[in-house]
Amino acid sequence: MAGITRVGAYIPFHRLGGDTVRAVWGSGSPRASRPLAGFDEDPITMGVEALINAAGWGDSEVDSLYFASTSHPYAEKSNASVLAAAADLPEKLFTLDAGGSVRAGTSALKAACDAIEAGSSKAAAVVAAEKRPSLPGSPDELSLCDGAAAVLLGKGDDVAAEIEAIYSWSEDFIDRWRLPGEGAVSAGDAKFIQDYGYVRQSVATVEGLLSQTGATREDIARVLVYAPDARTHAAIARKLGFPDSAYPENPLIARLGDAGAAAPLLSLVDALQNAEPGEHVIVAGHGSGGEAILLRATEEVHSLRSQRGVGWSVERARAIPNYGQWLKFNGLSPEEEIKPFTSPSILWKENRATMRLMAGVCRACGELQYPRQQVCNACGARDEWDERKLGRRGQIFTFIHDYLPPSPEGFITMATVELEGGGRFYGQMTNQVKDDVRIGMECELVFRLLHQGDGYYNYFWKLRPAE
Amino acid sequence: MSGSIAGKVAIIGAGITKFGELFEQSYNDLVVEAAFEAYEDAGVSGEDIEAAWLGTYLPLGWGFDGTGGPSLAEALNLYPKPVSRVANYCTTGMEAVRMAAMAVASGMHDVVLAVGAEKMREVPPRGSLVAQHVEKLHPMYSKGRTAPGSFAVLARRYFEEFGADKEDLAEVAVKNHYHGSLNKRAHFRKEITKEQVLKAPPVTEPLGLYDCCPTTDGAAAVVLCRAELAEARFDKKDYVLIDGMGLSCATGYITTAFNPKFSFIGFEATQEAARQAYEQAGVTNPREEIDVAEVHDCFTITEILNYEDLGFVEKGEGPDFVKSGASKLGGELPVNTSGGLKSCGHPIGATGARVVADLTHQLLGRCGDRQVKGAKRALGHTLGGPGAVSSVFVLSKN
Repeated sequence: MAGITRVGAYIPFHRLGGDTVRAVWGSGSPRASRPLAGFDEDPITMGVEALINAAGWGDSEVDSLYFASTSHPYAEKSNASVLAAAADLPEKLFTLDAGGSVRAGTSALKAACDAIEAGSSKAAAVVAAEKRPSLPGSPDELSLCDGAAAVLLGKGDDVAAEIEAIYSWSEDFIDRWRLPGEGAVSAGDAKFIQDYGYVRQSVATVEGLLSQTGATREDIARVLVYAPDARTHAAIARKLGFPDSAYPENPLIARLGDAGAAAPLLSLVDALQNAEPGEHVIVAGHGSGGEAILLRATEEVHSLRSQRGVGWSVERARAIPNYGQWLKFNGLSPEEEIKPFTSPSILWKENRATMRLMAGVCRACGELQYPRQQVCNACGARDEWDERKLGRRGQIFTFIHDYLPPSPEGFITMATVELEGGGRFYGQMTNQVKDDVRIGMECELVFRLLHQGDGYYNYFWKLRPAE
Repeated sequence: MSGSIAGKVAIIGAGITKFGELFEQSYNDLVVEAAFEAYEDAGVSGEDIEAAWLGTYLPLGWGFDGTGGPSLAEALNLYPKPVSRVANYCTTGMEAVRMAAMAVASGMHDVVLAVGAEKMREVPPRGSLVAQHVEKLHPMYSKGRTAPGSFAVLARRYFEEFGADKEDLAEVAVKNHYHGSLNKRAHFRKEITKEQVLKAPPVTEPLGLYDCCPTTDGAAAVVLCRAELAEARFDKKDYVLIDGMGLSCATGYITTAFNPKFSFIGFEATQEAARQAYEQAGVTNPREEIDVAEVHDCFTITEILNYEDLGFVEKGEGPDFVKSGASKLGGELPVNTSGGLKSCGHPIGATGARVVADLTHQLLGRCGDRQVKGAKRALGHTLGGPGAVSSVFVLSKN
């Protein structure tokens, strides 16, 4: 039976605090704390981080990748292919960008599960990521959540949660929507969409699964449903009628906010990392109908606990210092225009080095070089290279804080890091606390948006403190 | 086998424009001023010049001039002679002189001109070096690097390994501003205090504003001839001989900071270029045998590293060398008596030619308040890209 073998999640470390919003707009719950993608993060970079948290650093056997989002950076051009390269997935790979609905995460999970069951995929990765759009001063500003989740699917002994059944249904329904180019989500009448949309449809989704499988409410240890806010979540829970213990004591919608298409998978990753063998879990996606998925945790489920999940990210949360940073992160405050040089043909030619971080090890002299030349810079041998992926972690050898280049944070920290496994990486730091950076500090490589030269996204690796 | 330049080429004329924010002068104006001053000093006219080399680092980066030999030929009416433009990062001006000297040494030409020029202040502030790093270069690697940033990483590492600090760097800034106050062609002519240096706003921590050279316009030129012609044809009693010239490319431009062998406490390029030049010049103890030096103080840390890489002192002893006053006017080995890049400014293509021209003036005793008395042997050094390439000249009075 197909099931989940590995999990990973990533919530950006930045938080927009209710007090920060209140200071500008005069309203906003002081307790609110919205996870916020940094200026160098988007659904692709967050998806990469979640995927690496699930699949590891290179040597993956994933043969199909499903990437779900309602906020794909590219409206035209594959988004999943960027994840595949950055997570160093094999080139023989099926990719699919799923979108159009906050249900896309569970829809992608169903499609991946079907591929595993059908035998067309041996190892599938499902990633859901969102950078949720909201306008300054709107209530959404504090209720949404940016983030990403990833699950790997397969069959066999390493399955940690078997997927026992999936129920899907469709009903055209206008609750929330967004047209191309709009910077915020619109909503219909609040009472109507709660009662007839979220509550009625979610109940129908979960009850459809129960009647399809013959399971009873008592059989289910954990029920995870999508809701746009905590109040609606509570209304759905009441109407669904499971014992209180089946619902998360502090659901992600209350802890973090509405993560859109990433929400069901984030809840699932979090639940499975806390589940015991034998527990049944239902996770439901919502949107013009819905999906409900029934899983059973196996003896392997504890193996998921060591992977980086929601808890790992939340422990690293840090409030941004002021509202202006939020405006800058979202491109809402005019920045000095820079037009970095870039070229699609360079990005294509050097893809293995820049995206997959492949260094060269000279067969003649053993020297590891990154970025490598054609002729070995140590011994002069030409084209005698074995490829080796750079290690992810290392220690700072030297660094500086540079106030000259334009940056939303006012400075850029550049560091040279000595990597485990050999070689050095030199580049920008991210998520660093300026005064904490020091020689010897442990760092790891993270995939980030470097710039938008030529109008497309130029992604590369940065260094993040990892202590 | 490598040969030697020693004794083959004489410098018979030198010209240096005022360095600064020369908004009223064009690139061609600067080239003409420097070249004609060198002509006059040499006692030649444009007709005597058989070939010329132009050093300009980055045409089209901050101006349109200097893209090729014709930029110089047009400004000086050198038609239809052989004229080339050379570029080698911040050693560019010295490269123009080196190419010109080799042409003379080869016997190809008897009298040649080398000009270095850069017009950096005809663009907005961010149109300068910062923009070169952000808007140009590789789309990914080293993005975020700036010129001060690529030297500040050495300061950080140097501090870590030798316990030096920002006060040590400030000594260099104070000394070179003092020297600059005595040089009427320097961009900055005000003395500064250590307190001012330490309180200046950060540019690239740990470097502050006074640790950095400014962005400047300027040009310099030298006229070279076969050594035996200096007196025979041009009636020179006093002139300067090139004793040694070294050039080394020791790391890559982008890959330096990725290179596990790069120490971040010095520049192999400088060490190797110095080795070549010293070998030709027969210098075995530079601290004893050099009377005056112009070295590449693009940032204060660089001057300290240069002392060590050039063999004036051992690794780690640079801060004490400057603190002792040894490198100040009146000290045992005055360094950057012009004010250096710190006070003169650093019009990239001009700098190397300015160093050679300035040392020519020192060796010929023309430097007034900042003259090193009795200077017989001089060292010039430039370093570029950041530390990938270095050029060293040893010069002496005939």
